[in-house]
Amino acid sequence: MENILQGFQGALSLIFSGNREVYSIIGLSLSVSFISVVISMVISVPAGIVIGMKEFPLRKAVIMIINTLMGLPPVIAGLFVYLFLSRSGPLGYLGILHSPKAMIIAQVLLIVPIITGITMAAVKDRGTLVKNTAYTLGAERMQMLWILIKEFRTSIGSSLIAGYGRAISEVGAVMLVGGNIKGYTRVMTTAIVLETNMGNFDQAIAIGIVLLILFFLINIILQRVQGA
Amino acid sequence: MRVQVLDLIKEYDGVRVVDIEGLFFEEGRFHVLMGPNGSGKSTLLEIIAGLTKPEVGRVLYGDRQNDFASVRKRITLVMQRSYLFNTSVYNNIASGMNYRGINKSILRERVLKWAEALDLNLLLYRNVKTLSGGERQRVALARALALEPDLLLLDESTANLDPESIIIIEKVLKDFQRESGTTIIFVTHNVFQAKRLAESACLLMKGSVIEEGESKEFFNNPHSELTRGFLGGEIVY
Repeated sequence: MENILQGFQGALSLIFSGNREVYSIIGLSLSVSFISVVISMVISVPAGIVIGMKEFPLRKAVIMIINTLMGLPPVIAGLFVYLFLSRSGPLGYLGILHSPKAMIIAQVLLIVPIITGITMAAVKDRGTLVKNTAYTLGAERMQMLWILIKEFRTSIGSSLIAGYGRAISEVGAVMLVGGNIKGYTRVMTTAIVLETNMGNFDQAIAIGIVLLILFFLINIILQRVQGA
Repeated sequence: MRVQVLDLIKEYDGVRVVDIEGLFFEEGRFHVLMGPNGSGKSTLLEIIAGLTKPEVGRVLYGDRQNDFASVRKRITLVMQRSYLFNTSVYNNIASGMNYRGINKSILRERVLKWAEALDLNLLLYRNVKTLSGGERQRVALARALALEPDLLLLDESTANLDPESIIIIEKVLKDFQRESGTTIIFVTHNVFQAKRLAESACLLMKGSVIEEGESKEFFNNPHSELTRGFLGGEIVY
């Protein structure tokens, strides 16, 4: 119990003293997850709209695969990215293993099914009605896409926040492909694992508190978006 | 804009829902399409509106017998339960004009004009979520009329509405058609409403045309036994 209390005291002093290492870890976590969500959004929102509304061969199979991938264990995503980016892998020539780029790729792999799945479910029932209305009013293809995004902004917003939550809390995949290199690929979750293993509980708790506060903020935004 | 329907066949899951050899909608007139549920009226309207493609046949538009793509922006459709965008009444009425690139000052003028005609001027800045069914349908109609289309398609646009909304909508439609010369195709299964509105009428059953003609002749002296039965209120399938 004493350890925990000391850990909390140390954590608060680390946060309020503006410890550079802690803040660089937080900054990297936020930026890597943000970039992952932006890339995933560009891929997943149009994909979710198309899969949710269009009839095409093997659509049911595609939906089943997306639903399965929504629960993809992060370590497996990390393993795939590792195998592809490792020196002997097909994309080894890029030389980006153990870099933030590799972490972003792994996170995108994890988030894309989540945003696609939620968007797809949202547009499935009313999407065609919205599209037909826009079409009869004279909207062009890109205008129709924008109208659909606007009309389903609540669900799409929720999917982005859920994706961000998944990305920032992820540890297995980023540990594998990022390598947890101090000052380069160390993010909040991997730092907590490392500091705990090393017995630096104050640092682990400090980062844990920030992560919890972030989750709290994400939940507030999620509730606002959903109008709760 | 006149419309010609030629050798049209449409099937859903192997069931033929529209099978029309030829049907002609003259320019600048108020046409009413009637028929019981499942007679193919809505599907025919969707084909004319370019929302559904037929298996066989085609629809030609205007004097030059254009295809749909070249006249798309001169046509609009108001559905039975029209979808309104999650924004204000003003933005909804303006939406179609925005997509068609209509100049902002003309846009504003038309929004105000049609909002007044359809008794929506006090609701202009309210979100459509707060409106009643009748008000929502009037917004959908204002949105379509503000486009000043050459061909206006209406699919049971007054079904399940309160009498006050029906009276307003029918009056606005008649006035609009008279002043603009727009061709209107109005789908309904309400015989009384059809009598009030139609200049020419057509009865569809099981996807085929049973009878068509000038309003007076159609309602007063129908040739087909099925038409007489339908107009007389018998359930005809």
